[in-house]
Amino acid sequence: MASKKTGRAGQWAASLKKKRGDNVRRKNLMRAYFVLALLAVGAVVIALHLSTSSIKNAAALRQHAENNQLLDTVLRPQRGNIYDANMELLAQSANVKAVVCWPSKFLAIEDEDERAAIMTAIADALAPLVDKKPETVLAQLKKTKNSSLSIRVQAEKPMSDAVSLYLFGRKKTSTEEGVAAASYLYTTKDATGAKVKDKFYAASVVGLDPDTKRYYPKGTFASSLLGFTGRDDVGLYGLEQQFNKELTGIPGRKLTAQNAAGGDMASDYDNYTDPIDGNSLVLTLDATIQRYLERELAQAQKDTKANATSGIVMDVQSGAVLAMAGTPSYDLNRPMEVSDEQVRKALEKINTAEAKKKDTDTKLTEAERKEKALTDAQNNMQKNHAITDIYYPGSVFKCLTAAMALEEKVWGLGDHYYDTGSLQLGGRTYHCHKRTGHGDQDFTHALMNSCNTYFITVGQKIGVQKFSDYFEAFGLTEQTGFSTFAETKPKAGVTYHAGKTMSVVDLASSSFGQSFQVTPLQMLTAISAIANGGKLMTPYIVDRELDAQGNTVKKNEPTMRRQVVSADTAAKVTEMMRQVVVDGTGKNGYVPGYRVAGKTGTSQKMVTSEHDGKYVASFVCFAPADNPKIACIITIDEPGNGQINGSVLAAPVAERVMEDSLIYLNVVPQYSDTQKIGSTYSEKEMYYDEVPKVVGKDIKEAQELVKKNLLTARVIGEGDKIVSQVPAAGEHLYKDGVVLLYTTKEAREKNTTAPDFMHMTPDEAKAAAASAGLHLLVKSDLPSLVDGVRVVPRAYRQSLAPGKSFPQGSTVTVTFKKYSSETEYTGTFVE
Amino acid sequence: MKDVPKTTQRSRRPAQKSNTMPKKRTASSTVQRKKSREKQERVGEVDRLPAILKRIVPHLSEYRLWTFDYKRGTGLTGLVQAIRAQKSVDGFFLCMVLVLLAAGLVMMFSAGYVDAQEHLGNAYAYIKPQATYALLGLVIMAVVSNVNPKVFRGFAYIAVAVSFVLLVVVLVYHTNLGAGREDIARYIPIFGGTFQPSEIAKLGLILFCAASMEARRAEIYGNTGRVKKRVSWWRGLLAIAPYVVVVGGMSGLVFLEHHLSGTILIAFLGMVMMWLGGVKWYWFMIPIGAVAAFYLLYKAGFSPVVKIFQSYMLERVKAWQDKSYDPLGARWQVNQSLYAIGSGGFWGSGFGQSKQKHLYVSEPHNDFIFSILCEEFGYIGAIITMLLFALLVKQGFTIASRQNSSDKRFNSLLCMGICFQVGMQAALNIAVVTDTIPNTGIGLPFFSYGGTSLVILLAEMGMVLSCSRTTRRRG
Repeated sequence: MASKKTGRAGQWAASLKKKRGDNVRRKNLMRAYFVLALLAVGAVVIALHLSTSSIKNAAALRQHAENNQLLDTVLRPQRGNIYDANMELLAQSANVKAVVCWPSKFLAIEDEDERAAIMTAIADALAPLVDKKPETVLAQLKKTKNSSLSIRVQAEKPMSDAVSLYLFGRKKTSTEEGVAAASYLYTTKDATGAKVKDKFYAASVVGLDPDTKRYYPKGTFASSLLGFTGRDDVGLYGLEQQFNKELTGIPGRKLTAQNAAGGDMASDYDNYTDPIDGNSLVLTLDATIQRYLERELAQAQKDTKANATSGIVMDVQSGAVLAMAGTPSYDLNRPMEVSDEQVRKALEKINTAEAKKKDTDTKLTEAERKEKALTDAQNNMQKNHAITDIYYPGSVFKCLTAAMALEEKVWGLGDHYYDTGSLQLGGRTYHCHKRTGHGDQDFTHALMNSCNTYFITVGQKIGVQKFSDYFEAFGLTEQTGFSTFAETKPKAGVTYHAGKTMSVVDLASSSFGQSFQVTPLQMLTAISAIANGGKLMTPYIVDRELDAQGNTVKKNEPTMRRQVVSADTAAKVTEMMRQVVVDGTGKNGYVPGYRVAGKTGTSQKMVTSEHDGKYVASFVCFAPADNPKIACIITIDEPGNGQINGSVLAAPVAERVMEDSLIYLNVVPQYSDTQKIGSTYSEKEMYYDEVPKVVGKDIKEAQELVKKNLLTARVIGEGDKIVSQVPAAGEHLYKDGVVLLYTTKEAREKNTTAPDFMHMTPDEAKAAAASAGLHLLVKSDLPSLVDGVRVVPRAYRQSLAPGKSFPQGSTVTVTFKKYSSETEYTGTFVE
Repeated sequence: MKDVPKTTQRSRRPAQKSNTMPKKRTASSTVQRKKSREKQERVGEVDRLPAILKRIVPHLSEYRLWTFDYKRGTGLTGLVQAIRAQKSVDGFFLCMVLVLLAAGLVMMFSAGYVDAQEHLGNAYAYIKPQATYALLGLVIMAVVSNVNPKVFRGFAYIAVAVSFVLLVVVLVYHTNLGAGREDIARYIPIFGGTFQPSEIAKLGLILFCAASMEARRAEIYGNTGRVKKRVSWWRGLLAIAPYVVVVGGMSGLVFLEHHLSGTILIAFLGMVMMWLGGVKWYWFMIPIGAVAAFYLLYKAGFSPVVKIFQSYMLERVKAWQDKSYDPLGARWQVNQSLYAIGSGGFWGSGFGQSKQKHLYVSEPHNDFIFSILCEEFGYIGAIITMLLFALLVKQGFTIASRQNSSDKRFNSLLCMGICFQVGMQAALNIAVVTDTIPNTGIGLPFFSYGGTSLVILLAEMGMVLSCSRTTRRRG
């Protein structure tokens, strides 16, 4: 570049340019280019590397970032309630709190000794509040690798309040002293890095999360049927499990962006989906009938010292289950606790020498044995015996054998057979339970006597093929459809003899209910088919599902599976069964005023070492025989008092359940004067008592007389002698009817105003009549259920005009009509 | 320097210190020319600068804003005239500087306001001082760009001496004193703020190398005068010895600060300066061979070598090799950075839309600002930013290549050194952010938070701009 040469330097420069200058410059430039190239190569490498993050792996990295940034909160839906048919609450969910801890946040305390000390202090303070041992709490806090752990689930309000007070303290108010939030001193560094003591708040490692808890307001009520929920509101047993999906609802979602410190961050991610609360179940179950059943089963369990009992009450026309219970029962609010007195005592005895001796071969330690016994007891009380236990139905099954024979016309009602007490068949000898034999019997009497040999003979007439066809038709080879996963599934060749493999011997024992097993529900469903004119229904328990707003989202209709036998055959068998109750083995099942058809059963349990000599006593019945409404089955598993007979053990239980239920369902009792009870008295004579003549007698004598006739006396007035009586002597009153005894004339002439019974329920009417001093005669011929809905009867007609004056003690006849349900009651009648 | 031939006759400005007056002037008006000549003559006689100062700093009187005193008269008129008489700076380079500075400030605010709000309670806590320092830096850049590069050359030896002093001082007086981490000594607290002596040292190193290499060019090249002859190896070693000592000393001192990235940066910068200065290629085989040997010994598990890697350095390397290593500790920063980059994708999520800056990326306004840039402006934004840096460096080298005359060797080396340093820092920072190399503590020039380093950077830019004045634009 230097064009002008000046002096020595100029010459040098010129020579440099000519000879070496350009060379040097070129070299320098090359070196500069080399450095630039280095940087350029670096830049290209970085740009390529950046592209893998920016483009190739962008989606995955973005996902990582979002996982950090987004807080996806699941909004739990409220679990649906469970109601009985009258909307009585059986199960309900409530919001509670869970006490949780964030152990990893302890790492903020760098000094390990200090950290341990603070952990212990927090555990000691927290443990009594959450009702746990300090060691348990401390163990959770020490897991510093976990970011979140649970300390206590389902803490109810008093507990969560106590924890909250400990964590967050309380501000001073005019009435109360303030409480400081719990904190502990620890060493940390300030901004300049100097060591300082600072407060470590318990609230930074322990907190409260929302949680839900299931409540069962009635405790042990319908426990094995309802089942219970576990953690996180998941149904574990019974209906809670079966309808878990419907009850749970659909969780909502709250998506919010968070900065690294946990604070909110504005973003376009925010997203909120409402949770859809679970549906509520309205059961066909009637709490009143369920109460009757549970009451009687509990008594039976106590009396018979049975291993277990179960019972079902079913609406025969629809297949709706009105009650289903079993013992031992348990408290649904504490499902793991053995609450049954008897079982608990048995458990306590488990470590006695006898139990040890029994278990020598299993080589279990005492603790293991106890554990096993507890688990067994829990399983026994938690399972729904009515649908899971399988048993030999025994004589109860004879009703179905009879139905088959009559339907197939292989045996008539008038066909006789002479029972000698035993029968030879296929190389085996079958004995009747009466070793001397029942002698000559017709079909009805054979059922009344529950004669085995007779039914073996009938069974052989039916034949293997027909028998197994009907066996299947009665629904005994499949689940009833009540609950597909809780019900025990029948297995061909295991629980029953399939048609192809059934031998003549199998047929013989099958025809009187041995050698195959069914569940109580299967048996009752089959018997209900007889009651229902031969129509086999699908038993069901959920009447309808309601959404959170109370709208019906699903309605279960009664489902007929098939016509098994003709209505004519069904009527014939019903009559035979009625005779069983009137004057056969089922006498104990007789309910006065209601024509009960029933059959007892006493069956040996499967012959294994465990069950040797154990029996199942059962009774199945339905009523009224001329227009069957409800059917009931009672099974008593392994009764322990020596008595094993269904007629003795199960029939009285069923009788009491049926009587109370029928009265409750407003089935008007009709006392027959032709039906002989025993051989002397008619039903009317026995249960429909004549009012004695007490006029002129003194009070005490009169009361005794009335009481003797199984009536109730009510004395009115202050006199010493009875002046007059209502009703008059010689009139008939049914059991416990009230006879008004007047001691003064004034009292006799005392009038009362008839109340207006319009729209009253039977219970209300009863109370109104009693307060007015009137006799109430309920007149109603309602089915207990209409289309599966429990009918709530309402009064619509009365014999005494409302508001008019009538003598006290007059009888008022009130007629009831149906409403489709309580909720639909609007004051107008459904015709 | 007197024996260096003047080659600036064709330039419009006369050589200030030359005793012989230029024969040809190309000023605009003859009146002005006459006036200035009179003034120059008058002032030239009265050299008020103390002789001792002139001796310490040669060419001090060539400081352009002083020269007007002598040649254009005192006062504002003289100043304006002097400035107007200058050649203009390189417009493209200035443009790149301003664009990068503006982008850096905007990006710094966007990336840092959340962090500032969270930690200091004021969203403007980072941008306010940064903007203030940027303005101050621009003023300094303007002033420096008016200083004759010869003055920088004069300050070179002082600068390297000051650098050494500061590097020693920082070892005994630093921000971590009494804070438990005495071993890490990088910052000197001063006037309520802090500054890194290693930043000054880098500049000192560049100045020293440039000045010395210009002066000792012949020894380094291995020839004297016009005759090419072979020189013995020890004379060659003697020629490069000063640079080896200075670079080795500086990186050694920085290593004592436990500042590995700074050590590597200074050592590499020194080597590049030596390379640009013309040191024979075979000398570079020694450090390259040493590094290779070191690496092989480390791989072989030679214990003294392994021990040299201190635990925290090793951990960073480990975290770089094993992508799943300690995600909450050693790899947290880089992972969050990659998440940010991935979130941005190709087109970015838009200005201000970064989510990772919400306390996920640590120091989003500082070392990891580039990841936020990637998140907000995407791959395309990242590439544009890298291109801006590339253009800046390229233009710096272009300015350097224009320093054709042999007395501008200093200018050339200075420009290349400064620009290389900026480019290298940017590359290393981006490489860390993109997980291309292990995590080190290097900021991104123009973007990262830090007042003093920004001011120093802009002063360096001023030096390059000053050099750009002395040359004629090509074309």
